[in-house]
Formats: sequence, structure tokens, C-alpha cells
Amino acid sequence: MISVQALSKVYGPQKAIDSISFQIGKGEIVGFLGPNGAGKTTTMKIITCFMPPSSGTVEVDGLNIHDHALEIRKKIGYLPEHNPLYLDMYVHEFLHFSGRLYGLAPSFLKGRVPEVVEMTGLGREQHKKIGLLSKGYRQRVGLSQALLHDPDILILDEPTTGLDPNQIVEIRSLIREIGKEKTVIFSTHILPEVEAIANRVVIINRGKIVADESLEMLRAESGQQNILKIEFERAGFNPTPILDLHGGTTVMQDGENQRLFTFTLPDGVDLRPSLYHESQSQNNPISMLLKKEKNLEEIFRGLTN
Amino acid sequence: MQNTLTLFRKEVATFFNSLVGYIVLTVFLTLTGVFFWVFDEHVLITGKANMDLLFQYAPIFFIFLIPAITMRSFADEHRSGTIEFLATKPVTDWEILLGSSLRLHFWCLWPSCPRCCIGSP
Repeated sequence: MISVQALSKVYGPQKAIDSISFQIGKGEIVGFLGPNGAGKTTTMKIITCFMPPSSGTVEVDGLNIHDHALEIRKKIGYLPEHNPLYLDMYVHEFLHFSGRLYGLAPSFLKGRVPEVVEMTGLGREQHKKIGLLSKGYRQRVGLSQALLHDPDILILDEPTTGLDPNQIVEIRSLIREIGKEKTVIFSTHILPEVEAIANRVVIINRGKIVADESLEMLRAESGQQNILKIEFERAGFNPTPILDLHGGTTVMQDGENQRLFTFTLPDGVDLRPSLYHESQSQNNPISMLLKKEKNLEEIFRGLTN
Repeated sequence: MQNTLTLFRKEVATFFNSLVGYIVLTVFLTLTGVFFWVFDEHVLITGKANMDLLFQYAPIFFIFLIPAITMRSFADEHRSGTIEFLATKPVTDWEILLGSSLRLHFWCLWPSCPRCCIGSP
């Protein structure tokens, strides 16, 4: 659906993106990750035909950005990073204006605008001027205009910035819902967000792609280790029988808290049943058990540092 | 053409949504009014219902007023980033420019309307 080929963009002496290539298929939800200034926004701006690349090309549905910019823009719904809106306009007025730019008939927009307003939860705020809305609601207006023409592809540049925790959850579930039928590319700094929404991650650093995989693959390849933290009611737990039972497992006793142990286990091993039985037989009940997986944040730091 | 008209309508609506539109209108009407009724050989002195004086001065006021409005509008689109909103819609650069310049024509005609309605005797 989207094919990026050897794309580069140079700003003066700085290479914002350096010959990146990737493909995105229909129905994928792709999380675009990277530290500040990595080139995420630049890539999105090129795909949406806002700025031309220095070299390389992008094809959307087989259409080239150099020759078919207008057709491509019709297929894409785009929420820019800073979400530019006309603050003097009313919400409905703005959405009608935006819809007309896509060539939608006013009669169609009469039905469509309330539908989108409902979908993005603008509800009570829909009769206000955009300038009077809070950041979260402005973000919803931005999202509404991106959804208005029912595009096949949705490109969202940091869609959840400035939202409160409840709004973040709502917008995420909305994106997931939309992603069932459409191709979605979104960028974010919030890593749990990628884990919550995306089924594929593209990590970009200093203009180059450093990882482009499904979340599961990324976790597996980065040498996933499971860590189990366990605390007993009393000090003096003997972990030897457990280590004998499960080869490859290592244990560390906490220096200060003698009741706390940290087990590091190879992939696919689950110690919890044995720990429970052992605590029973040593008559030392478990007071806390914590299973930790190497999370995306650590993987991200490893790849971009 | 459809897009140009849409942009033009937006420009006009924005103009009337802000105070600037009314200030510009007031300034224009006051200036032409002053020149028409107070200075020079105005209608009361010559005793002729003649619009020549208006058409002589109006273009001079437009020279200052029109760039002030239109340049502000275009610079505003860049500053507030809304140019990114427009330029990622299926609209050509020409249509965006034309929308803006149509407004310029609108501003040439609009304040002149009351004057033109009176017409030349």
C-alpha cells in the first residue's frame, strides 16, 4: 500500500533522513518510533506530499508522490504534529471547510460531520469556536478532519500529545478501532502506546531505520529474559531445590532485604508453580511475586543509544 | 475552481470573524468619507454630485490597505502552521494562491459597494 524507497531529505548540512526504505501493507498499524529529531515527522511530511524528498521516492497504491500528489492526498487522512487549526472558526464550520477541500458535497457533509464528531467524542464542545477548546479537544478536531473523507490511510503525528490519561485511552481505542479497516501510521514518544496499539514497529534513529519488525519479533530478537522477583514472609528461604529443578535459572538475593530474591529465567520457563510448592514445603509463605519482561523501553534505548 | 471558491469563502468568513475586518472597513470608509466631504473641492463646494474625487483617492488607500490584509493572511498561514493543513489537502498551490488573491479582489469591491450603489449621476 505504501512503499518508501531510498528516501533522503537534506536540510543544509544535516541529513534528516538518510536513504530509508520500508513497505506498509493494507490494514497494518505501524508505530513510528524514534528520539527527537530522528526524522519521523520529515518522513510523514514527505508521504503526505507536504514537502518533496531530496532523493528517493514514495509510492502510495502504486501512485508516485512526484506525479500524483493530489490523488495521494485524497487517500490520506493526516494529523500533523502541531495540529494546525483555524482558531477563528467554529468546529462544524471548520469540518465543513475541510470536507469541501476534499470535494465532498455539502449535502453529504451534513450527515458525515455529526458522525465524525460523535466518533471522536467532541460531543459537548462541538458548538464552540476552535480557539476556545482545550488542547485535548483541539486534538479531536484534528483527528476528525483526518477521518472526514474516510481515507484508506491514516497518518497521525503524535496523536496523543497533550491529552489527559482518560482521553489518551479513548483516542488509543479509537485508533485501534479505525486500524481494523484502515492502514494507520502513527508516531509517538510514548512507548507503552506502541505496545497498546501497533502490530508493527519501525524505529528510526538519526535518519536511519534501526528496527522494522513486529513487536513479538523485536522482543524475541533483543534477547528476551524473564525476571521474577519474589519476597517471602521470613528470611532464610533456600532456593537450591528450585535451581536444581530448572537448569539455566540464576538467583540473586537482595543485599538489604534478605527476604527478597530475583530469579532470572531462560525463555519459556515458568518458575511460579515450583516456587509456590517450595514455599509451602519450607513453610515460608510468599508475600509478593512480580514477573518482569524486558519491555520496549529497554529495547528502544538499546537500539537508539 | 471549486477549491478556490471554498478557500475564498473561508478567507472572507475568517475576516469577518476577527476584528481586523471591521477596523479595515472603518478606516477605509472614514478616509474616503473625509476626502469626499471635507478636503479638496468636495461636493458641497462645487455643488456637483460628482464621484470623481472618490475614485481619485480610493486606489491610493487600497495600495496600503490591501497588502496589509493579504500579506498578513498568507504570513499567518505559515506562522500558525495551517499552511500544512492546506498543503496536505488535495488542493494545488495555485488554488491556494488564487483563493487568497480572489479575496483581494473582494476587498477592492466590497468597501466600494456602498459608493458604487450611489453611482455617478
